[in-house]
Amino acid sequence: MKLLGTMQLFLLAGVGFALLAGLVVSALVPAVLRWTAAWTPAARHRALLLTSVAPMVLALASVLAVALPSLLALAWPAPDHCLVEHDHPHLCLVHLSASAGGWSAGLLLAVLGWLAMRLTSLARALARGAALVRQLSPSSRRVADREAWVVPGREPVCLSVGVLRPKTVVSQGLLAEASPADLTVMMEHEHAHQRRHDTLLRVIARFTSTTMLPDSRRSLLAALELSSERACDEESALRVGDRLQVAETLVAMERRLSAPRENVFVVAFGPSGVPERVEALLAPPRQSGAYAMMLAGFVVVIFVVLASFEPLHHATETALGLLIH
Amino acid sequence: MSGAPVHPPLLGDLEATVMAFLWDGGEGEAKAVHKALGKARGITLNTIQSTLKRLFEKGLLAREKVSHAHVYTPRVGRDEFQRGALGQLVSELMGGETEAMVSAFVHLTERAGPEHLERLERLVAQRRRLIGRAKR
Repeated sequence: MKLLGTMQLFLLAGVGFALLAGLVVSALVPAVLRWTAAWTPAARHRALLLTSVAPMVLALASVLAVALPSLLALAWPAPDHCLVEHDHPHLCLVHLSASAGGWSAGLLLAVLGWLAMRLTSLARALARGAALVRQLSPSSRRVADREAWVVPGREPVCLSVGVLRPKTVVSQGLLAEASPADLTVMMEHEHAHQRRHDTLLRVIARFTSTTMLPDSRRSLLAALELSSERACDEESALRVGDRLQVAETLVAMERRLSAPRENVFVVAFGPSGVPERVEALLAPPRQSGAYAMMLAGFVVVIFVVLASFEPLHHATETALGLLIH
Repeated sequence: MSGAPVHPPLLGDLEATVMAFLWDGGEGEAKAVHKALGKARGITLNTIQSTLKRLFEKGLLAREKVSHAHVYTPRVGRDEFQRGALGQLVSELMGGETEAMVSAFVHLTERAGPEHLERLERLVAQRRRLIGRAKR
């Protein structure tokens, strides 16, 4: 039972760190968006991805840091770090704690339940998405020298769907309407998404940024999405050797989707990202991106968190003591 | 054909195969469907009967009693069904939890608006003309 009490304390600390890290990263989002605005899309995408996983990575590093004294004590029992005379909960695997109390157990159950619900709903949504694609009885075919699933339907559709092994889905309507040059651009764009594992990274970013403030998280994920689209536009432009052709294809596709037709989609005017992408393709390609510097800074922060395990451990125990009593 | 569900129901593997068989003009009596599909798959007549019943309950098949047996016919055409399914795929995948698993070349449900589109078309055409002139 005492091991359960200790695990409960570690989980409580983990939830606290995740919330705190979410707040800190949320406060940094506007600066990160400004700093990376002039970077190449690929560098910006990496930087924003790092920002979105930062809350979870920082929380895990902090939990590891507060567990380090007892892990060290288990490895070398001599230097006992615990101030056993202190009447506070022990984040210690040597001196196990009693349960932190009913309300904290309830809170933990709620957090774990919410986490399980999110994962379940994501898994169900993914399974439903896969079933919906199967429903269309797609036929595998080569389009512009790339493998694609061709689905029936008059609407112009071109997308990549799937997380681990995404597939390009193209509608017969699009094949009938689009020029060979447009199809090449689109297939190269979708192939770039698959090469870069963009859908998988997006799922990860959504999950790891959960504890951020909603507005900051929304702007971060929207910028992440746009940067991944722009990075694929750039890769597509490199492969077809013509940035303007990619811009033309984007505009042509936007025109096709805007055309009054018996559309089966519910359409809204919103931040489609097309204007930004076209303008970026008409501007000279960007060269800069200090992603390595940003990554190095993040590694330093993690190292500092781990190195300050002793004060962090005691501060967390004190904070948990105040919270519980 | 009429009475197409606005959102076609999700079909299991066998249900989709049975629908495809009937859409291709296959005979709609359970025994005939079993003879065409069931034997090769090693499934019983009962399974085929309950599959046909499920498809009827989902609104995809109509049925008529001929002597002692039900004869099933599609209520929804293949095109109609697939058109609905494509719309459903897009509307479900481009919103909510599933949005993360899709990347569309151009967002399918969010439009930039006519004024943006016209401006972009002008910009792109202008650039194409400039390049053309420079080449000459």
